[in-house]
Formats: sequence, C-alpha cells, structure tokens
Amino acid sequence: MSDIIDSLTDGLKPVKPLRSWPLWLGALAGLIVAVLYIWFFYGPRPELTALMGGEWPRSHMPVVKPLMFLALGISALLGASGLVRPEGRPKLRYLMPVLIIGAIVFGALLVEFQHDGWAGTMVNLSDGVLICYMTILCGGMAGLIVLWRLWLRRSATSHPLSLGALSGLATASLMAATYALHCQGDAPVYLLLVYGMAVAILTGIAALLGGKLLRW
Amino acid sequence: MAPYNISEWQALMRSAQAGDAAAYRSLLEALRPWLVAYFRRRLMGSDGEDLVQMTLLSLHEKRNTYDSGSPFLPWIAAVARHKLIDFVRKSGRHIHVELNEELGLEDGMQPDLAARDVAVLLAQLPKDQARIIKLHKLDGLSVEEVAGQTGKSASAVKVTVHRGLKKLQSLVGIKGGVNE
Repeated sequence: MSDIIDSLTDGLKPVKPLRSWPLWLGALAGLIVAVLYIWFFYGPRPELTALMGGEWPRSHMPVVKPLMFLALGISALLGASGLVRPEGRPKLRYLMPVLIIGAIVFGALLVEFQHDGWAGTMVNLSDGVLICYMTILCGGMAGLIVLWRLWLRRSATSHPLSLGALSGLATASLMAATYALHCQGDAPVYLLLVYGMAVAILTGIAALLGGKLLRW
Repeated sequence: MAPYNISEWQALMRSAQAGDAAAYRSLLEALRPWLVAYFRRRLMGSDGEDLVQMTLLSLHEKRNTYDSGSPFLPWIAAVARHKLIDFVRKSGRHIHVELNEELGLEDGMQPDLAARDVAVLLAQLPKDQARIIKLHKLDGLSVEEVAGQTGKSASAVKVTVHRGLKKLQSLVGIKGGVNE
C-alpha cells in the first residue's frame, strides 16, 4: 500500500481546482459567436429589426421565444455545474423549466389543434424544418464538443448520464435561442416538433455520450 | 465516533491541491484506514484492498474536483461510494448495505451526511413505500405499528418492505436475496 502512496506523492504537481466561472464564460462566448453567426449569415427576423428601431412587435413571440430557450439553457447549465463533483446530486429543480415550458407549449398546441384542426395545425410545419433541425443539432453539438474540451473532461460526476443530458440540453437550448432570432416559426406545433425535437435529440445523444465518456 | 482526525483532512487536501507532497502523503496515509473500514463494513468483512487502491487512484486523478471551500468528508465519501458501486456492478459481488444511519456515523460522517445516504436511496422509491420502510427500518416501529399508522394490513406492510428492499438492492447493483 505504501507503494501506491509513494507513487502518487512523488513529483506531485499543483492542480487547478475545477471552478464554475470558465463554464459561464465559455457559454457566454459561445452564445456571442452563435448570435453573430445567425445574425450575419441567416439574418434577424423582421420583427427584431423593427424592434431595434423602437417598434415593439404585435406578437410577443419574437422576443419570448429566444428568451424561453435562453432560460432553458441557463437552467441546464446550472444543473450541469451542480453535478460535476462526486458529491453532486440530480435535483428536480433542474428539470422544472423544461417541464413548465413543455407543459405551456403543449397546452397551446391543444388549443391550436381544437381551433384549427389537424390540417390547419400541421400547415405550420412547412417552412424551414430541415434548416432548423440542422442548425440546432450541429450548433449544439459544436457547443457540446467545446464544453467537453474545456470543462466536462475535468469533471468527476457520480451521475454521468444526467450530466451528459444536461450538457446536451444546455448547448442545444442556447443554439435554439440564437436560431430563434432568425426563425419565424412561432406556432406551438413548430416549437414542439421542430425546436423541441431537435433539443431532445441532442439531449439524448449527449446522455448516451455522457454515460460512456464521463465515467471514471 | 471513529478515531479519525477529519477536521485536519480539509487543510491537508487544500495543501495537496497546491502541490504540497508532504501534506498529500499525510492525507493519503490518514485516509487509508478510513477507506479500509468504509469498505469492510460494506463488503461483508472483506478488506477491499483493491477498492482502497482504486479509490486512492481516483482521488489522485480527480483531486481537482474537490472544492477547497467545502467540507472534505462528503467529497471523499462520494468518491468511495462511486468506486464501490462501480466495483459491485462490474464484479457482481454481494455487498452488505444496511439501511441504517449508524453505518455512516461509524465512518465519521456527520448525522446529516449519513442520513443523506439513506435519503438518496429512499428517494428512488415511491413515496408510500419509502415511508413504510422508513417507519419500520429507521424509526424501529413494528409491522403492526406501521400497519396502524398507514392504514394497511400487516401482511401488506411486510410485502411492501420486502419489495422495497429488493428494489433498493437492485438500485445499488446487488444480486441475491433480501436480508431483512
């Protein structure tokens, strides 16, 4: 036993303790890059251009939609930062924003479905579905890779699946928040089946990756 | 309370993170008997020497995740618990998990930390089932008293406790029968 203690103490080097601030700084930097990318390559939706000229949009959705996904991203990052140490435990409050926002959007979908019927609801799915999926999945995955390189690989979680899932939820939600600056699909069915599904897919992929890569 | 100088460990770990090899050696040497006792209680008396070494290695590799502003014991207890669960899952060994807060107290944990281990396990069960197990196993009520408090029959309480303990065992990766 003293052999192992000898080998661990020989040539001991200082270590940089794991802190939360690089996570938040990295997330802010990633968000800024994503906003610039969407703004200059895709272009902002007209209501936001008008808003910058001082005209508030007739619907709140152009403002509410990005903020909704931003809130999801921030709460998922909070959850992830609570799980990176061995003693961290999953807590229901990390999932509350997902459950609350999911319930509101699902409720709105039911109202829309009652009002417009199946055909009237599904017509909202016609525009930009593929580009929305691709942007959220690719952008979110890029964010996840950066998060892994800078922060996650230094973690020691007792809950690798949950930490992976929360990380994927965070990067996908932040990417969705920035894509929402461009996208004009505000219908509940679009939010649920396009945004929601893209975020869910990346969350699932990240959970599986977390289960493999975050073990120690 | 076990004879461990736990209050010293936090300062030693902080120094070790800063690269102080002597402090690190003192910490590892002090931790070794604690880990041996920790695993012995949970591995039916086996000394768990492999596990102690694996835990020391993990401590070394992941020492950056210790938050120097927080108590050290919950951190090292979580590392040891993680290694134990991993070990049991891989080897399929039978381990002894007592649903008893005294188990953690003997390892020098504060009552709230020991209770947290139990609470973590119980939280995996449906509320009613967790309540019945708590009343019977932690609060020491007889089956009849639990039945009286919960409005269930004595046999229903017995079945609930048996199934609950079985589920708890499977959650921590234990195979085999339930030791009630």
